[in-house]
Amino acid sequence: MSEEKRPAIAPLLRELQRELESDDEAMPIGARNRVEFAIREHARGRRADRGIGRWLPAATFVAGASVVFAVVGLGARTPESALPVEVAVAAPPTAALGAFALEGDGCEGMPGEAQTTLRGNCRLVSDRLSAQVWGDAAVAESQGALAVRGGQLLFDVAPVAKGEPKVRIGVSHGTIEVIGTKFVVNQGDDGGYVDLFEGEIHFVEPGGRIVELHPGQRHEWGAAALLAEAAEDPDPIEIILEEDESDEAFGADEPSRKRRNRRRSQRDRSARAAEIIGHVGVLRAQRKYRAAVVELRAALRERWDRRTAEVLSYELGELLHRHLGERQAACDHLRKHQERFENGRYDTAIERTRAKLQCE
Amino acid sequence: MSEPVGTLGVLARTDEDVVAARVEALYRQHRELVFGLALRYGGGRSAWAEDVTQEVFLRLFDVVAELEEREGLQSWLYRVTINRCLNRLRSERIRNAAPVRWLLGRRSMPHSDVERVTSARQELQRAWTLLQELPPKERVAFSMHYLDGKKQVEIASVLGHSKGYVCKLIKRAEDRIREQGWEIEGV
Repeated sequence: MSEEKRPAIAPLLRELQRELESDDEAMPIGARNRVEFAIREHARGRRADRGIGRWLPAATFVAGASVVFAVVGLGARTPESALPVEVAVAAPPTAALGAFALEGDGCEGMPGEAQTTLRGNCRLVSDRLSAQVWGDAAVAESQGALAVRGGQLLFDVAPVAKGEPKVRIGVSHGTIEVIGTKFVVNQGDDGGYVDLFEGEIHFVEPGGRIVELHPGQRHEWGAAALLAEAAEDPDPIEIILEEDESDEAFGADEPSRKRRNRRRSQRDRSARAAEIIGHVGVLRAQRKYRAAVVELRAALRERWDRRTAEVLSYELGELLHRHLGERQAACDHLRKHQERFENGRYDTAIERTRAKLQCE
Repeated sequence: MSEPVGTLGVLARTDEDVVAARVEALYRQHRELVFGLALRYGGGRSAWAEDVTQEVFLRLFDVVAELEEREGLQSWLYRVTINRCLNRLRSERIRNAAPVRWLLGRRSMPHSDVERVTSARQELQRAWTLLQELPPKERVAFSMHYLDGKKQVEIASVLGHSKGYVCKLIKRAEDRIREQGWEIEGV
């Protein structure tokens, strides 16, 4: 009588392992975000421990564990802050959303004409929300809403009861309406995203479309969203060849100066576009505007889908008029941009710019 | 809010900024590796694996500057993840022993996500259960050897034991498995 064959455990366990690891991204998005948040909090704590960041205390008091700083302008000028900040000597932060207390060891706040720049371990606090800053951030108050002009903040908002006005956070391409409670806003030069950890938020686009987010979801706007949409474009092969500003790039033998089909992975192109925009962002932050212009002009000679080319072209126009002050070059570029991208995403902004520059 | 944003002023980056940026980048690059390992040793529990992943990357802050001089990053991540898992498994084994569970008012072991995978196949379920019942060190050594393909000397290096002891751990695990009517590898 033959022995019954015994099952082998190792092959089964390997099969099970393959099954569990079969997703390219097995780590749930909520888990990814929570761990990333913990890493950033840890980094912030380390900076605070090492006393990084200069601070100018104007008044201190003990209220729980908080120390409140007054925001003062550089050079000890009287600040003309776009963000009213209270110096609370003995009182807690006020109830009005339009007035925040600024807290944090190592926090430095620099009021400017249109925004207040925050550096270091900063927390904005009002009765309805608190916002923790990582690194640098720029905020302003606009039409009753707090606006994020740049950087990354973690918001913690008290749940909004029915009938109460929603808390609103402005970003470059829309408004976040908050029902509650925890989310991260990351605003870059060309766009950004919001990651919702808990609660519910609505993202209101300028055109009025509302996107509802639930925990674990991310919503992107601006260049990031356009690139993401471009990656899903069902017709990714449609390509517009950018003409050199001096029209010297292409000779008479070029078969078509306006349209040429090339086979390339859409994913490669999106990654390449993201890399370019990221690098241009770094150059802008370093105030190397001329280098950013050169990079964008070179990029615009590559093959792109319409949406990506539009983003890159708009970015070039912004650099020319906003940072280099080259009025004529900006006007010429914006005119060509509008001809090339009829009914484009940036039409309204470009019209305003052309009017401001008094372009012909 | 339709105006494009302005730019921020830029501070000179401190060493802490550099460390933080590096850790964040490494986290994005290697989180799936760490999470996947922790998921296996945690019995398929996602929350458990998330906690281990967080511990590992927070630990990375202290060593990232010197890491590539001493050993490869992946080796470090593997070693630290395994050891974190082992520590947790050991303390769980104590906390979840029947008398302790009774004292703490717990009725059963935490739910395992792996049940959704194994429910359709009893053999897989039995294999998984058998692995989970091994003592923590034997389970880890056995898994590293048969699932990760590690040699005994590599396992010894990760666990901080001698090669001889690792050999004993694996042999004991194999004996327990055979006692339950299984073979290790198919013919």
